[in-house]
Amino acid sequence: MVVLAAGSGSDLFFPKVYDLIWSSVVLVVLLIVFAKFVMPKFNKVMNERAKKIKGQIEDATAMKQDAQKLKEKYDELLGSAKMEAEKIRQEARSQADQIVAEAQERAAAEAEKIRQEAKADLEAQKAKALSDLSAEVGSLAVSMASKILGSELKDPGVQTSMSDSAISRIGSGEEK
Amino acid sequence: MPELLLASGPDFPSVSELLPNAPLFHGTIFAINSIILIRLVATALILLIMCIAAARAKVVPGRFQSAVEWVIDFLRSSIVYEFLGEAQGERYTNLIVTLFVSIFLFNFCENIPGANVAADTTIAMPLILAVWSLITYWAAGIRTKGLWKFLKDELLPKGVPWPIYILLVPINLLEIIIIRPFSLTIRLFINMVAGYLLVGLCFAATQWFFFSTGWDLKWIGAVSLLGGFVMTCFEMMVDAIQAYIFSVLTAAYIMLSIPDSSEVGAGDPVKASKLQAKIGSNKAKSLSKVKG
Amino acid sequence: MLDVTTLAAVTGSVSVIGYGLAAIGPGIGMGMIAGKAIEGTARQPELGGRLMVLMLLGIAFVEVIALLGFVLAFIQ
Repeated sequence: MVVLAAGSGSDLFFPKVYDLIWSSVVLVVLLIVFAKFVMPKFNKVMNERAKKIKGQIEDATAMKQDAQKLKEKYDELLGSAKMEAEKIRQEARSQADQIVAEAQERAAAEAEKIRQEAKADLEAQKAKALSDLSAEVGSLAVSMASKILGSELKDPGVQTSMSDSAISRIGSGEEK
Repeated sequence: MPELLLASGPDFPSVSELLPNAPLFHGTIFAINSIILIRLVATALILLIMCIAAARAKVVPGRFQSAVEWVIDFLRSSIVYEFLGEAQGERYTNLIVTLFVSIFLFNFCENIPGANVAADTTIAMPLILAVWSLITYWAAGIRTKGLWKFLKDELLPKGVPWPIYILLVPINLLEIIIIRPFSLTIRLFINMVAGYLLVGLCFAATQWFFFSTGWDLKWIGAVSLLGGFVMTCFEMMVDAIQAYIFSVLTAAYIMLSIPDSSEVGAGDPVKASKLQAKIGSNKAKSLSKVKG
Repeated sequence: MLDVTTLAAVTGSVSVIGYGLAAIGPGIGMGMIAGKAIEGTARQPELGGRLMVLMLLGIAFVEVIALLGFVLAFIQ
């Protein structure tokens, strides 16, 4: 109430000439200084920063791509190396198997040979023993018989034929 | 009756304080009264602050520079680019930043002890600012469309049956010549006057209750002091909002003057929806800053 | 004012009553704008910033009407 009663309220809405002039001066000065100095400077600085940040981001992206490439390469290498190792292991294993098989084969063959040789040896010894024995037995038998029969068998031809037939009979008897 | 009340009651602020005499250069057209003096000092401060900030601007910003840049960036992205687009808006950034920074700091003078009144609490300053806004959107329209095309778009919106034009043309003409700058002026000016009166009312009451009444009434002074604090905080908010509104509306008026890429018909409701569509078309990225 | 008997008189500024009347409509309008903006934000919080700007713009337009009442209260 007091507020409104005091002073002429409508004067508020009629600008005075000097007020208008000072307002214009102020606005013009502000506009000129902002347009000519403040904003260009800030724009420049902000653009520079934006450019710098953009450059840094690009650098970082490039570095990341490089790293990615390197990693791919490394992965590839690692993969091929793993495959290589696997191959080598396979080969080694098959080679080892082969060696073992060969060794076994050779051992078996050796063993067979040794057995064959031993068998042959045995046969030979046996044959020799038999022939030795037959001669010995023949002479023994003849001497025994001559001792028993005296001089009846003086003729050597009779001796031989008799002993031989006896031995062959014994031998065949033994064979059975 | 008023004199009686004045004599016995609190020293309430009155409109006459907003119509001070002009002691300096009295009688000439360069007369300076107290509000103009505050305005000149505020202008000098704004120029000083901004020029120091600009002169010291570096690529790696300090705290002060970051604050100033935050304001500029906010205005650019949430007002200029939002309404005018990056291509057309770039040339109006200076204007919007100047308007916002100066209006906000002029308004803020009302919270500064010693000044106590906003630097634009005479109608001349808001009027000049609004006239500058008017000149800008007329110039923008004429520059991009030519005078006749601009007037045709503004006065003869498409998609309206012709008899309506008889009504519409004067209304639109009034709108683009008088109503827009007038509403800008009144909005800013009256907000500042109301702010001055409200805060002054609270503190005048405090003074009166503390020093001119008996002990039984002094508590009312405490209440009004608290009210004064609250009102001061509220006024700080109003200062920022009014500066923001002034800038946004100037940008919106420029937007309505320059050709739209879609070039849908005009007419005020359509224009309003165009405005909204334009705001809506952009992502909320920059606008979410308004909230924060 | 010669023969009229004054039965009741209003003292003080009548224009303040006018301002009070003028503030009713914009007050309701602003309340609706703010309320709708809050509703919209509650429905779609991600649009909050955009709605805030639209709300401020709407309030600015409505506010002028209330401010005109304030202006007329000064002009007697």
